[in-house]
Amino acid sequence: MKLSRRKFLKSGAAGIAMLSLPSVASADADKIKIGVIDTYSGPATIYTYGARNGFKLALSQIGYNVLGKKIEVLYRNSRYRPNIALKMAKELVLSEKVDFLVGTISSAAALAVSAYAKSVKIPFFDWIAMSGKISGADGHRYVFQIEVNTDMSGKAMALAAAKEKYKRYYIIGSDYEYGHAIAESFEKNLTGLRKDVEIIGKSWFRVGEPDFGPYINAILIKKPDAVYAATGGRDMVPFLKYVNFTGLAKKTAIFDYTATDTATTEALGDSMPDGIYGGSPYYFYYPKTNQNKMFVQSYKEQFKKWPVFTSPNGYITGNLLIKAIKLVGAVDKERIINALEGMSISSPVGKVYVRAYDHQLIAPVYVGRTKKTGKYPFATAADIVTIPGDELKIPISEVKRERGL
Amino acid sequence: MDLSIVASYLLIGISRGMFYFVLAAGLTLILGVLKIINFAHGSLYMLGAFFMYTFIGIAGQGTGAFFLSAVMAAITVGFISFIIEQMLLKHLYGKEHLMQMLLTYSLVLIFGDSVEMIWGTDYYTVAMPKLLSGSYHIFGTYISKFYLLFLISGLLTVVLLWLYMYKTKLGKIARAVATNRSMVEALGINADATFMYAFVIGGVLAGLGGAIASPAVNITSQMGDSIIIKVFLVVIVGGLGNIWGSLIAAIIFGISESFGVLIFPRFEIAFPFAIAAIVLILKPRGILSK
Repeated sequence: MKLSRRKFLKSGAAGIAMLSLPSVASADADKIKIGVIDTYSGPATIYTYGARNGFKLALSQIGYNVLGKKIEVLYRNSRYRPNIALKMAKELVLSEKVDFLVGTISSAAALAVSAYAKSVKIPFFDWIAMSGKISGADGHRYVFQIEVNTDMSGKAMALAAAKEKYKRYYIIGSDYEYGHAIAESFEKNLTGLRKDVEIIGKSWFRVGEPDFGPYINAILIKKPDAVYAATGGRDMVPFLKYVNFTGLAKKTAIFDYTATDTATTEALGDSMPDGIYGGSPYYFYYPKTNQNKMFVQSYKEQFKKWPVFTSPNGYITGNLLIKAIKLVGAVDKERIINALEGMSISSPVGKVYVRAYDHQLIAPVYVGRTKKTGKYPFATAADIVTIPGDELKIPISEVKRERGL
Repeated sequence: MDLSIVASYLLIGISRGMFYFVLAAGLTLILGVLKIINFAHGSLYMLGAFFMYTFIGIAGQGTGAFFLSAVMAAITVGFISFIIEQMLLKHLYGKEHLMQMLLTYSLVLIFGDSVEMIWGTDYYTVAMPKLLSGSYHIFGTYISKFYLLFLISGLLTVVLLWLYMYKTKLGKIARAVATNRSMVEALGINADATFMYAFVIGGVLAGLGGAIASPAVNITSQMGDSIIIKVFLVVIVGGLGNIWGSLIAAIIFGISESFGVLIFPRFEIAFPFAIAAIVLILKPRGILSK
C-alpha cells in the first residue's frame, strides 16, 4: 500500500488528536478535580492545616468518590502572597483543569483568586479569609465565603460588649485590612447599640510589630474601661503576651476576637491572661453536641491534633460541595452554584446555610472569656454565649449598597 | 504634654534602642573586623529564641531558669557561629564579597528550613519571668518591668564589648585589623583567631538578642526577617563597622519609634527611616564616621 504524503499527514494529525483527547476526557469524565491554594509554610499553618484537615476528613468519609467519580485534590502553597496565589489559581485552572478552587487564609489573596475565578467562571470557596469584601462589595456569582466575615464577627463582639457596663473604650489594632474592618464593625455596632459608649482613643501598629510597650503605655495613660484589640493572626500572640506581663488585663477589660481560639491559647500557654473576651466560630469543646463530639473524635483519630476554628470550615466546604454535586448529578458548575444557593447542611456547629444572595455562610459565633481551668494545658473559653448566625448577618440591602447597586 | 509621660516614653525608647544595639553590635563587629555582611545575623537571632524555648522547657519557669536559659542559648548560638566560621567562612576570606554574601544568604535559607524541620511551623512562646512581669508606677505613669531586661542586656553588652575591644590583646588586634588589615599581617600577627573571635562574639550577641526578645515575640522561623532590616539600618546610620556609632544610632532609633507612637502613631514606622535619611544626607558614611 502506497502511503501518500497527504494521507500520512491526515492520519498523523488524527493520531496526535487521539493521543491528546483521552487525558482531557478523563479529566472531565472520571475525575473531579479541586485546586486548593493556601499558605502551607510558616506560622499561618496553624490555621491552614486546620482547614485542610477538615476538608480531608469530609472527603475521606465518602472515600474521595462521588457519583462514581474519583475526587482529586491538588494543593498549592501560596506563601501568604496574593500574586503567588493568583499564579497558582491560573496554573490550576489552565494546566490542571480543576473544576473548583478553594483557599485562602489571606484576604488579599482570596480577593485576587476570587476576581480570577469570576473571569473564568470557576466556583471559588474562601474558607479562612475574613474580609467582609469577599462576599460583600467584591462578591459575585462564583465566590462563596465559608468563614464568618469581619462584619459579622465585629458585630458579635459588639453584642457581647453592649451587655457589659463599660463606657469608655480604646481601640487598638493591626494596621491592615482585617484589623480596620473588624474594628470598624465593632465600633459601628457598639455605638449603635449603646449611645453612652465613647471611643476615647485609637492606635494602629504595623503587622509584625516587635514591641507593643509604647502602645500599651498609651492605653494605661488614657485609663479606658475597656479595650477593643483588633489584632491580626501574626500579632495576636505577642500582643496578648504584652497584655499579660504589663498587667493591662488587670486594669481594664479587653475584647479581642480570636483571643479565645485554641490556636491562640495553645501558643500562649501560661502567658494567656484570664478574663479576655473573645469570639470564635468554633471551639473543639463547644458546642457540646453529639455532632461536634463525633467530629472531634474522627479529627483527632486521623490527625492526632485538636481541631482549630478553621477545621469546621474545611469540613463544611467539603460537605457542601459533595451535597451539591450529588444533588445536581453531574459536574455542571452553573447548576452546582444554583444548588448551593440557600443550601443548608448540618455541621459541627449545628445547622448552617449559604445565603443565596451573597453566598455568605450563615453560622453562629461563640463569645466567651479566657480561663485556665487546668483541664487542658492551655486556656479555654468560659461562660460561652452563642450568637446565632441570623442575628449577625448583614442585611441584603447593605450588601447591595456596598456593591453600588 | 505631661512631663512624666515624656519621661516614660524616653525610657521606653532607650530600652528599645538598647535591644537594637545588642543585635547591631554583633553585626557591625563582624562587618568591621571580617569585612563580611552577615545576612545570617537574623537567623542567629531566631536560633537564640528557639534555643531559649527549648532550654526553658528543660530548666523550668522560674526567674533563675530564665536567665540561665538565656545565657545557654547565647552560648549555643556562639558555638554554631564557631562551626560556621571554622568550616565555611574561613575558606572565603580574601575571596570576592559576592561569594561571602551568597554563603551567608544561603545560611539564612538553611537555618530557616532546618528550624521548621526540627521545631515545626507552629508559634512558640516563652513565659515572662515573674520578676519582669507587671509595670512600675512612677510619677503617675507606667513602665513595663520587662524593659529592664533590654536595658540591662544593652548596658552589659556595652561594658563587655568595651572591655574586649580596649582591654584585651585580641580586641586591640581586632581594632587594628578593622583599620588596616595588611599592616597587622605584615607585623606577623595571625588575624585568623581575631576573625574567629569576632564572628563568635557576634553570634553570641545575636543569640542573646533572640533569647531576651523571646518572651515578647512570636517565636517562628521568620522572626529574624523584619528585625534584621532595622538592625542593618542602625549599622549603616552608625557608620559601617563602628560599634559606638551603632550604639548612638540604636538609641536614636528606639527613642524616635517610641515618641512616634505617642505623637503620630499611624506614621510611627516612618520615623526611624526618616532619621536614617537625614543622617545619611548630612553624613553619608554614618554618625561616627571620620
